[in-house]
Amino acid sequence: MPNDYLLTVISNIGMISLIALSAYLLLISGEISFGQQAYFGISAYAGAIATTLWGWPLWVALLFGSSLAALAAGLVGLLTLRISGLYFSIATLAFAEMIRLSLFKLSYQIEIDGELIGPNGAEGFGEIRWIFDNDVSVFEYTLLIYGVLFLVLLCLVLIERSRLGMIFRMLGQDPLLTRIQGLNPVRYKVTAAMIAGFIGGLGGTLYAHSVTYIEPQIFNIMLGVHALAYGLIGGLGTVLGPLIGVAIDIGFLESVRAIQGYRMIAFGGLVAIMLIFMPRGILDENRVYRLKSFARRWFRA
Amino acid sequence: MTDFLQNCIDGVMFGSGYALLALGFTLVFGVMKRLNLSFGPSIMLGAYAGTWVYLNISQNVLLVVLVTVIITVAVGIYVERLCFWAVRRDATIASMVSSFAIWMQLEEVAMHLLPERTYPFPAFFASTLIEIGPFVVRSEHISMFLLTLALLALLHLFLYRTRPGLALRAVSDNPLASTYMGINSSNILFLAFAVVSVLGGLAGFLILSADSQVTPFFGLWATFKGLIAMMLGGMGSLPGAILGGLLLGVVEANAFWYGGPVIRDISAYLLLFMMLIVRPGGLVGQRIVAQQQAAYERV
Amino acid sequence: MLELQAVSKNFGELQALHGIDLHFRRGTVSGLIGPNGSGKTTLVNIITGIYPPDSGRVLLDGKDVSRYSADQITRLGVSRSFQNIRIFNRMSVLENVIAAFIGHDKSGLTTLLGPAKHAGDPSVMAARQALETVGLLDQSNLSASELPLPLRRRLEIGRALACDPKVLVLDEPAGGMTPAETASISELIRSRIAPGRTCVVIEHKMDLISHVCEYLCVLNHGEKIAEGDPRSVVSQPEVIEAYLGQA
Repeated sequence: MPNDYLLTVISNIGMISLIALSAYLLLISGEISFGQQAYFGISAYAGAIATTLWGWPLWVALLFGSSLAALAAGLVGLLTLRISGLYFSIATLAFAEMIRLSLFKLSYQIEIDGELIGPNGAEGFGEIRWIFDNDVSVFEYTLLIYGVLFLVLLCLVLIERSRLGMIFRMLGQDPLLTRIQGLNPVRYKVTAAMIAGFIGGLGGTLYAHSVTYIEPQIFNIMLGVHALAYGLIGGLGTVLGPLIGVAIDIGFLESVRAIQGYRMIAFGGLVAIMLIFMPRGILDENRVYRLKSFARRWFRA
Repeated sequence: MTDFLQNCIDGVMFGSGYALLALGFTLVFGVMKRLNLSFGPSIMLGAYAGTWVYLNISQNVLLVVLVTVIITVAVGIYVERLCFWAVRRDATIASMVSSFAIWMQLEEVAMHLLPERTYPFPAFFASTLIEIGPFVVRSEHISMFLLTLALLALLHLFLYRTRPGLALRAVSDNPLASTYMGINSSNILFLAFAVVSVLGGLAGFLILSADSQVTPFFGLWATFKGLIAMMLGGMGSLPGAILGGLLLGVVEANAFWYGGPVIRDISAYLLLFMMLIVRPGGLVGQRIVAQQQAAYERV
Repeated sequence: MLELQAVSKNFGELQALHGIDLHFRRGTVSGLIGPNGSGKTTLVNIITGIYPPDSGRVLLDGKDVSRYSADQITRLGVSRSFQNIRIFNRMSVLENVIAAFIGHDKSGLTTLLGPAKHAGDPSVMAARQALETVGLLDQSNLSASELPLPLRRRLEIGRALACDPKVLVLDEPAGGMTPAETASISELIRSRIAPGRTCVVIEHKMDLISHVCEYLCVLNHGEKIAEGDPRSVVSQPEVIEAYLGQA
């Protein structure tokens, strides 16, 4: 049985992958969002409140938190329909910061077993005890995380191959041309936003229950831009891209003891250098396309 | 009512600092059509260097200013070469994410250099309260305001009365045409970053000395305030940066007075969000947005 | 079938179009010519819904479509190519054509989530058909960015043709091509595309125009200065003056 530290690292990779996939989906459909951490955060708080204060089962809380996140994402998507590019990106950033700051004002506590439990502004939200109350081991929870991640990946792969996925990619390359094909971008942009928000939300609720203590400061721009960077490094040509980016940062860099404490310096420098040579990541569309052609020929032989 | 006006005065005073930061963003955006997210952290490193000198070498304020500016410029050049000059022209996202990655890097460097939470920063100005009728103004804020005006005037002179300034404006307006005129846009980018870093270093110095301390949060704070102020005024517009800075200052001062620090920060972002949705070009820049739209629709 | 009534459009102080009246009859191939800056592309953009006219109307089969968005107009059966070639560079040749079909499908949830490139799918088969029409079937799986210029133009035309549009608008389909390539495109347009469909072709190259068009309209400085049979239009003094300056 792998030790707890390793399991925690693996869990984190799984959960952060969800927010990375959230940013990736939007990136593919043509919008750079610096604000996916808002949905991660909304769902973290909502899901944690549901299990800890209302006694709901985890899976219901998961759906609840993620749906709330998706709704918020849809709202932002609608509001930002008319703006694009940098204006859109900054708007998502502004929204995410509004959410983070509002969490400082969120105070909702209930007395449970003589203690006041619940989110309390800057003090955060602790005692998210679902894992302990239900005797779930670290290993089992890691499996749960990866189960969810696997389902999300499956859905994303199905979307990628579907007409919807093709529409997203068309929007990402040329929204005007997409209109010329007879497609109204509005419904697809909002759909993309809501799916992305939902995925980010899944990560958020899982995260809250894994770390058992959350506070507003966690859901800051650092998280958001990391989420974006993972896809950009791993590659925008495939859903595995963001996962590769996360694995590089958390997995590899975390485990190389020599650079403990200098991880940001190393990761930051690495990102900057990689983006010079591979602006769309390791597995960008062209490389994926070439790999697929190669595989096709190889299997035919 | 007096409170409101007092807040507005405070807001305008402090907003001048925001205006300087916004100018830094807007100049780089004007030339590059990209955002430099490392702007705040580079100023912070400059300020840290200044503080270090102040604590360990000499309390000479002029020296501190010089060191702050020089280090800011040095870091600015590092960022420019790595994140902007080296990255492909059309990879705008990559540039910005790259500058953010370097931001993370710089923040960590700062943390290692000066691990304490706050450090004293030389107070350049004597601190007294000046009363004008029913209103009170802090002298260091007035000094900052006046110095900001002076810097703005110098910047204006540079951009409109010198040849390098002309080249910079040309590249901002039309990079391709400028190349045909023999202007090396790579050099201009370098120049822009240098000018912006000097501005930033000075802005940082003014803001921090009015506060008389520097903390590791300054990098993030400066980037955000500058960004918000720029967007409020209009991305790429110089007068916009100034107006945006003042607007931000006034709104924040009132929000703080009536609601506290968290409400102040929420108001800043709310204002930005609303502006982007309703009038993305900002107070001044509707023309820029229209231009961008037209360029995009040129089929 | 496609009518413009008193259409005007300004861009700031620039008056791009001024009181244009045009009637493109069903089933004809019309040419739209004029010096650079005469407003041809603006006209075409208004027809295809990229922006609305400032005044005047655009009628498609009698229906006022002046304020319709580009996607609405496309769904009514209007298709176009672009002067600067707009294709999806990060998708394959085949995918570029399939893209045209997606917009026309009645998109319910099941259609949306259905596979886009399944070989047996009717849209895929129709897309391959369209590619065959323009001679690009062999390049189906190449990335669109890998095609040389003449083939990219063919791809764009193939994509525009894919859904059997009632109105086909081609904006300089032979732009940037050698005389041999121009002849080839010209033959393609004439033989495979024209019959029964209303076409509007913007072009500078008179060899293509004369090979393909039954009707010609000339714009200059945003105004219509001549229209009619190609041979007679070309010899009108105003037209010659517009292109070559006063004699």
